[in-house]
Amino acid sequence: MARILLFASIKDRAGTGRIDVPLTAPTPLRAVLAKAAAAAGIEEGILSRGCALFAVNQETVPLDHLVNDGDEVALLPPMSGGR
Amino acid sequence: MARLQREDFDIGVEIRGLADRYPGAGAVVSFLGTVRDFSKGEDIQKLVFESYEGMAEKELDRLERDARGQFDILDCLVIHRFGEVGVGDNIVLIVVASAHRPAGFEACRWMIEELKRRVPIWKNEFTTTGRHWVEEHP
Repeated sequence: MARILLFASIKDRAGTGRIDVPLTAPTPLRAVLAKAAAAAGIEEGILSRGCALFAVNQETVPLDHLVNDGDEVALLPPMSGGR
Repeated sequence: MARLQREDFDIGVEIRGLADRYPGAGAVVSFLGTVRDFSKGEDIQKLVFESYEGMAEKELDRLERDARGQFDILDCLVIHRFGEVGVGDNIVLIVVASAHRPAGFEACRWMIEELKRRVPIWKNEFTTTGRHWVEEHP
């Protein structure tokens, strides 16, 4: 199982701060997001749109990164903005 | 040194503390971010900062290390608060000690811009008409 953590605006739009996704094999992050959206019953765009960065185990990664069972995935909207 | 904390900090203690550790420092440059009372024509009531605990601390540490590696400075510190902060309150402090002022100013400016780009902390503005996340970064 991978644990998907949602923050700030993405958390508000999804209506949850955490989605658990069962994984049986290393899976590209892009596909994990699709599984997470399906598990939460929301549109995939809610998870992928509005993300500035993705992190796996607290390190930023690209969308083709392979997610393993037990990983912590974080969806990070643009950071604390302001002029 | 990098810290993520809920409680306020004393800018005098922090600036003096860094300056006193470095007799070779001829410049101590600081940036203090505070809560202003307006945003896009609305009155701000408070801000709530949400952080990704664990990664935010790691990225603050990395920011501090990177600044020491990239600029000709003696040392630097960064402190960022999370949770609820009111109008006029302190949010973030960056202090840079250097032998000469140009490197200090450059490093301080770089650190606050980088912090806003890569440290996972988000600002939720509460105004008289509701709340919203601030995600633009001009």
